[in-house]
Amino acid sequence: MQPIICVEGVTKAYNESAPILQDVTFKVEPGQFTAVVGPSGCGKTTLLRCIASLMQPDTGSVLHRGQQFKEPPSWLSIVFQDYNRSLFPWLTVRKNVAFGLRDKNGRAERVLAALRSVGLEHAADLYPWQLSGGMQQRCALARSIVVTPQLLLLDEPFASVDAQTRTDLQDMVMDICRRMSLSALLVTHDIDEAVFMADKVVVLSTRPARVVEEIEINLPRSRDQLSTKESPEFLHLRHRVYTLVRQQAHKSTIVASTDRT
Amino acid sequence: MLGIVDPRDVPSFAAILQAAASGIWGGELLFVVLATMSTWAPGLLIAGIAGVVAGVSLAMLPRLEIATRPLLEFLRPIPSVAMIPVALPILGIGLELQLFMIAFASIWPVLFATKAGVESVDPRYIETGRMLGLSRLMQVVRIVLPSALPAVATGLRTASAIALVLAITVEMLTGQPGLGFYIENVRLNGLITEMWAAILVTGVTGYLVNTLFLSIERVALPWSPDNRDQ
Repeated sequence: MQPIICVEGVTKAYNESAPILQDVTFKVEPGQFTAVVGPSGCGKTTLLRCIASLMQPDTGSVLHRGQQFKEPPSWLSIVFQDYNRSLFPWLTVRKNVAFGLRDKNGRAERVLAALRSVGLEHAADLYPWQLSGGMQQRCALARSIVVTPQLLLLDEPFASVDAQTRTDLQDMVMDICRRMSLSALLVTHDIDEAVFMADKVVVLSTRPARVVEEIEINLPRSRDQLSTKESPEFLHLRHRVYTLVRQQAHKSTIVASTDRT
Repeated sequence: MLGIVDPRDVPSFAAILQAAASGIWGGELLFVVLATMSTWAPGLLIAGIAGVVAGVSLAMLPRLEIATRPLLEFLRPIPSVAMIPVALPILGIGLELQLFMIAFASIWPVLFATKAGVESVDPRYIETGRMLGLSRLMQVVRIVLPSALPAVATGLRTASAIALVLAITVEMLTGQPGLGFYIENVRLNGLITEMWAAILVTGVTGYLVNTLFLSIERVALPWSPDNRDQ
């Protein structure tokens, strides 16, 4: 089966400046949960925007099952970090979730099902700004899954909520991906989160970002915030990813200090 | 008293209130207010529609904005009343002149508030629309316009007060029926108490118009940041 997403030699620069992405190549297989980590500011979000086709790479390509695509496609959904800027404040939770559905048939049922799977059916008629941050992010999640996509792009989706909410959301996202057989691509700076949630972690270098290493996470799929995170395998993988990211971050400090002299 | 003001020019507040009340209930004043409002409303409607259309267009079409900027910057600071000598020979005394003057004066706050509202739409909203497969047109209809509504409402409320001022001014200058003409008329006839009563009613009308617009905003735009806590 062709990969859901195949990123091939993607390079991207903003107006003549030094490139953000340099020859980035990796794949997301069907049903796979992939996490992309890297030092902060390395270009993770730019990569995600190229994959979502919100911007076009300068060179290289992004293929879906071997095909190119130009506009944000319907088989792909995205959850942004800043939920309060992506949910529409003039629409209720229900209407926000229904916003992307073009098909009128069974619309109400589908919206309700999506709201149920994120536990928000009781808040359907409230406005997003009447909800807590975690509930808003669940609303954004419901909106992204109601269109039954094949791939979920997650751009630091848990970065703006408190620690307790974050772990709840992680469990919820993993559960939804499993139940809907969704592939997911999570961009995060949180190494624990990446190792805990993913089947594969792609480590990016400092700017210009390229893939340093791909690490298979061979932990059993049913994961638990306590037992999984205490297992020796988890700690070992976490250590490996952490070391790689820290090496990269360290390089960027050296580059920065030599720049200054 | 200090003798600066002739007491005959300043009737007691009780007398003014009484004249206002009897003017509104069973007197001429109610019809005078209604006459003013009957030019105010269509004048404001024209300004509202034209202002929103122009504001959206200028915000969405940068080339149009650059091309029309000198014209707009030339027209905007002209005191509306100074346009009367220009408009009078073309439109003549009557409803057309009144509507033109009201619309000319009150279009600006609508236009500039709408333009600012459209320009300040969060780009993340647009991106979300693109991700959900909305066409350019639907992005405008379903995202840009709703998101600009609170700004449009504020512009309309400001315009409603300006429109009232212009309606009354034009009545004063051209003798069309309404509060402006009434105030001039009773003044010339020495009916000082009635004049003060009409001025009081004018102020109350302005206050009520503003309150009406605020209430509509609260009901129609409960999500607007200004209304969220109420």
